[in-house]
Amino acid sequence: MLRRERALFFTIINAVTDPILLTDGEGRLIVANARAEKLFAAGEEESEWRQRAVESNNMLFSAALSRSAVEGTQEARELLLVDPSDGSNLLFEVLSTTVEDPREGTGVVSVLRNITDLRRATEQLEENYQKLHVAEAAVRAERDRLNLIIDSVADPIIVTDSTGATVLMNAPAEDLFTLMSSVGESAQRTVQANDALFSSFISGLLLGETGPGEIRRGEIGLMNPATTEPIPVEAIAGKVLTETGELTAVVTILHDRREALERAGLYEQLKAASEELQARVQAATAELATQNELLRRQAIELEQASRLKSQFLANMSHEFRTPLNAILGYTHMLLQGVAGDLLPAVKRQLQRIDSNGRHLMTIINEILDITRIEAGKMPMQLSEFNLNELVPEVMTELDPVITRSKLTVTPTVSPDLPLVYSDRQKVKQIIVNLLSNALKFTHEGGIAITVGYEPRDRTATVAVKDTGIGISPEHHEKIFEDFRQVDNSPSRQYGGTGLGLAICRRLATALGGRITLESAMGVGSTFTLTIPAETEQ
Amino acid sequence: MTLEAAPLILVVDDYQDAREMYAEYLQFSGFRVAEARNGNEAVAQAFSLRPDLILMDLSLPGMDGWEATRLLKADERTKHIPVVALTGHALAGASEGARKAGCDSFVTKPCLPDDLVVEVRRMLSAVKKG
Repeated sequence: MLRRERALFFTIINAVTDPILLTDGEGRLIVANARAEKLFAAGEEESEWRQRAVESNNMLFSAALSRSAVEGTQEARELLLVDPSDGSNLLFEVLSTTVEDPREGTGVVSVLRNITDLRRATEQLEENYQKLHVAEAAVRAERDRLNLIIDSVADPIIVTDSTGATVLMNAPAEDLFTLMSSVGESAQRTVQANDALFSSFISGLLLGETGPGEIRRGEIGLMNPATTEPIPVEAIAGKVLTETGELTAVVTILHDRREALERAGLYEQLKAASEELQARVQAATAELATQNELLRRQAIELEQASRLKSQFLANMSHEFRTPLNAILGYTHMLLQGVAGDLLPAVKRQLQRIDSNGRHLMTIINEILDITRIEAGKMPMQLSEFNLNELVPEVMTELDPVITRSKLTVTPTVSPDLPLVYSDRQKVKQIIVNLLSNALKFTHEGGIAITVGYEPRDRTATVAVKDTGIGISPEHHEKIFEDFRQVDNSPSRQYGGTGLGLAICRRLATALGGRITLESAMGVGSTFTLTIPAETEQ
Repeated sequence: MTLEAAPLILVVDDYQDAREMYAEYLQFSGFRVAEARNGNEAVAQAFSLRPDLILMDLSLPGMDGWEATRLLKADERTKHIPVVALTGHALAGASEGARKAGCDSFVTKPCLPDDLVVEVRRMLSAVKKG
């Protein structure tokens, strides 16, 4: 029976894959199972290397046992042994238990659990953990960088998961959607309202049929929790999908539209202002066009009126001439004695009719001249002539007037004057007119007619200088106007149409010349005709 | 006054006072005078009387002085008769138009009877010389 139990005992402990050893108080081996014998026992026939390995294992085990005994610990300790069969390292965990036997005394049962694989796995695990740690650090850095980037965006950015829960938001978003502990009730309500509005937008996106890469836009009327200032935003949201098309996140950027709205408002104002300006310009342009048209019509009407006036005056002067021709003719015939001899009184009276008729004729001719000049129908007959010769001719023509005036008229000609090319008749008419005026407005003294020549600009001059009443400076221009005398009153002292100087100036202009005046009140006047002395080319 | 027949002057003017005035003064100055009141009468008188000179007012009712002058100057029987144009129009081109129509001289009204007789004598002596 004892033998059978012993056999059974060995069968059991040999079946255990871990080495089991029983040592006595001195550490000597008493029992070892099959697995332990492989590590700690070697026969004489075994190789020397194997014997040495076994010897080394025994020493290491003994040392471990004695250390355990000294320290008195029951804890498992590690023991590194050598496998005598292949020389590989084996790591064991040693569990030693002290047993008391009445016959054998104190012994130690040691179970060596092979933890070589476990250790390797642990090391592997640790290594993996290290790697994981490094990777995690990298991810954290990446995430920090991402956060930095997201936080640096001025627009609020919110990342939500597939259920609509917020995963990530940047600082600007936090201002809108995060409750600070210190804020008041109204700010909390605002944050809640913002949150509700945003959630509604996101749920719309999540429920809606938005494909990958598609963007959903919407406008949300948020409020600034700190100031309750309304912040209209444009929300731009995109779905983030996995490779298999599963929704992982929704990224939403909220773009503050206030600036855009303000700009749009300004643009609208600008546009309105521009349109108004344009309308005003158009109105002004239209008004201008109307005014221009009106002016144009008025100009045409004026021109027509002027032409009609000229035509009327031409016709009238013709109509005046016809009866005047008969009056002057019959008066002349009577004075010629066609009807027999006349009593001296009758003759004197007829001479009055004659002189007044002639005066009337002069007036009519002057009116006709003005009319012709205005209508541009004054005929010009240009020829070469000696200006010096005109002076005595004019004096002869006006001899009766000169004689009656009892004034001395002194002519001075210019010996070096070349022939002038002009209208002889018109030049003579001007000189006659200037001399007549001088005679009319001079009561005592004399009149000088001086012909001159200015070689520098090749102009000929005829100056008529009187010692008459003179003309005050403010009248120097007026006297050249049509129907103008200094005294224009009905009771004026001096006769005439007031057309003489107007005609003279116009004729002078038509001949390429001018008439100038120098005068002082009570001293006299000098009228000077200047014409170009051009000879015929 | 000579026994030789005095020159016959045809005075054409629609204005009676002017026409008779010139006629009277021409007769007073020793001329024979015939009168016409318009262009048609002037042409008829010129063909039948063959005057020595025609005083032709240009503005006439019906056929005017220019037209009458052109007709007379185009006819062999009358083309040699000098025509002195008389007009109250002194506008540019009036005398030029008269010359184009064939007038030999041009006098602007008002023209004193005396001056007119001077012009008539001048024209007649020019014809004689020619």
